[in-house]
Amino acid sequence: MRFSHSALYLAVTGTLLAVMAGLGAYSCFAVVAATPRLVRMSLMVKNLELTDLCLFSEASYTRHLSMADRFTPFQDSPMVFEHFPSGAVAGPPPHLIPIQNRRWIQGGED
Amino acid sequence: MRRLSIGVVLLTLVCLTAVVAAADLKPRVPGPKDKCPVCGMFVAKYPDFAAQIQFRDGTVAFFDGPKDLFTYYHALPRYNPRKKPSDVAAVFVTGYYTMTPIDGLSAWYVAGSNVFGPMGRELIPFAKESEARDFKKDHSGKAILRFKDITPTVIKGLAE
Amino acid sequence: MRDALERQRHILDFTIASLLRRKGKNGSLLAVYTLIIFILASVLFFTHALKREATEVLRETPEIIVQRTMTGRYQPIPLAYADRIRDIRGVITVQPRLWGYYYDGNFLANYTLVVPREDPPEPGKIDIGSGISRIREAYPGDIIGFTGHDGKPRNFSIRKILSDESQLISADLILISEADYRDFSGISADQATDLVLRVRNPKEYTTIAEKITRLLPDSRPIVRTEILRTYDAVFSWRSGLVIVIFSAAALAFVIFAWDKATGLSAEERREIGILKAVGWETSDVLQMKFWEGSAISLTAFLLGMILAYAHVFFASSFLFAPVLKGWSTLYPQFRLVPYVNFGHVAAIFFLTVVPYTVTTIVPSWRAATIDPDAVMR
Repeated sequence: MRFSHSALYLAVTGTLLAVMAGLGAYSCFAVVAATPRLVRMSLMVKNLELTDLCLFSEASYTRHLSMADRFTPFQDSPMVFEHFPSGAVAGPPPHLIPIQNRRWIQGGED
Repeated sequence: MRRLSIGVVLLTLVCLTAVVAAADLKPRVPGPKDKCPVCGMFVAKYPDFAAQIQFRDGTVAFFDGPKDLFTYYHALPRYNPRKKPSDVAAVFVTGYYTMTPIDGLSAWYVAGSNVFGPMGRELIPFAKESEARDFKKDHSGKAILRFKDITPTVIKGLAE
Repeated sequence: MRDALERQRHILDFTIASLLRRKGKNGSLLAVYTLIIFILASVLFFTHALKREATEVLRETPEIIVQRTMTGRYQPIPLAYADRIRDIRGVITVQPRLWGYYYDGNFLANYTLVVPREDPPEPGKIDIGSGISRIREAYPGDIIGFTGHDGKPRNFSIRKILSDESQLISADLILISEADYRDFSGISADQATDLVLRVRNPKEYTTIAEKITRLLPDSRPIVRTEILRTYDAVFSWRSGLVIVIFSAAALAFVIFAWDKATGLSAEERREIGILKAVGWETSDVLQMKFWEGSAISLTAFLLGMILAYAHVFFASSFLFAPVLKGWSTLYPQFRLVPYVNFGHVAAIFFLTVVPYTVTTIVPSWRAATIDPDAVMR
């Protein structure tokens, strides 16, 4: 027996929707499951008095983004190619930017 | 005469035990369902300014800030008709710098500062007078008050 | 009701059949569309999850850190500063913090040395992050040599490797005892790298920070809220490279939709003409076009989303890794917690699927209202 085209389409869409719903459910589950790990990590942050994520270890101001001194962000603003990818992905910390210039860099509350 | 003196001694003893009992009372932690009887807010969500009155019968009323506590205390017949001011066993407010419960009866309160609580202008409590003075200077407070100084007029003055 | 459903079903049948007839064109359309949604969604998923994780993990970061600057650079801070700061109202404790960097020339990697206050390794021993362990193939018990400030080599034996799961914060860390660190880095006993303040009331952060700058003009306080905001801003979708990727994808989508909106190919016009000639009504044609637009855009949306999710949360965002790694040799291996902002998902849906469907219907509506005779001639 051959399925009609519409049945095929609806089946595919339905499967994709189900997969997406499944991923949504997985997210909820995984977020809860990750809580102990995040708690352990935040405990480590507390004990070692850490301030930053170890994402870019290539320069001091990208390794410790929030500790960047007042001069670095002006030399290495986003789009400056000195430390190209990370320097451009990571903008200067907002507390070093005058308030009137913040809007475009700091982004929304999301 | 002798009987009278025994009576006096007994009375003093009773009073003393009452005072000691009051001093022994521990601040309680508001549960997730405890509402401020004055404004209706859930107290557990605003721990920064939380306050409480404990009565002699063991009941307790939680508030989201000292302002509502005083509103309640001044109008007990309205909020809790069965209680009199003399039924109050202990008052706890949250010390601003320490963020821990302190004795509300002996605390120092700063009025008119630029620090706002969940219900707007607040009386900010401190355990020590020196703390209150520093705070008043830093946060443009208007007056430092004790528990007995805080009258309905003061509370009304905060609202404006 | 049943009839109406049956009717839609037939129209859908016809639409899918007609889409399948032009497999190459529609297939590539679907592929490009899926790719755009995949990129948009990957960026959004990745940045959002990283931000959320940063917020969760850095929640307990020090309330206020005080550093000292001189000639525009950070300098060790004298411990005497701590006593002056301790007197500020609202400060619970002031503790010196000792940390610094070490460049490992053999492996071209930067390490961060930290002196822990609790459970420090005994002198002569160190704990290392699992990133260092990975690149140096060093394990507990092994000896690692570093060159100190005086050019003399110093050997340390590894006490333990920091947990693998915490790489996002600890991959490049070396924990070392205070005595060893002072000897190694040459920082004198009356100095620290910076000071860590404990302050109970977050409302006091700014007041205390202002007082510190007034009291010690060469110091610079950094407040916890600023640290947390840094990570919010760094991966904001409006910042840095993210916006470049974003605008590229958005531009591609605009071109794409523009192409659809500006007109139908002669073949499509002819198809509409024939349908009308065999008795289809204008509304039928529009319904068919609606199905066509939504079939392509919905499939692309679902596929793109699922692929992006798998890419970011199951495959550790391997496509972004080269960008994020840059030229550092020490990069943490981590799998993000799948925090998803359902608002983002809805936003992508309304910014892609809806306009695309509309742009397929509108030009057909123009074509469908023309006399079939005129179209086919």
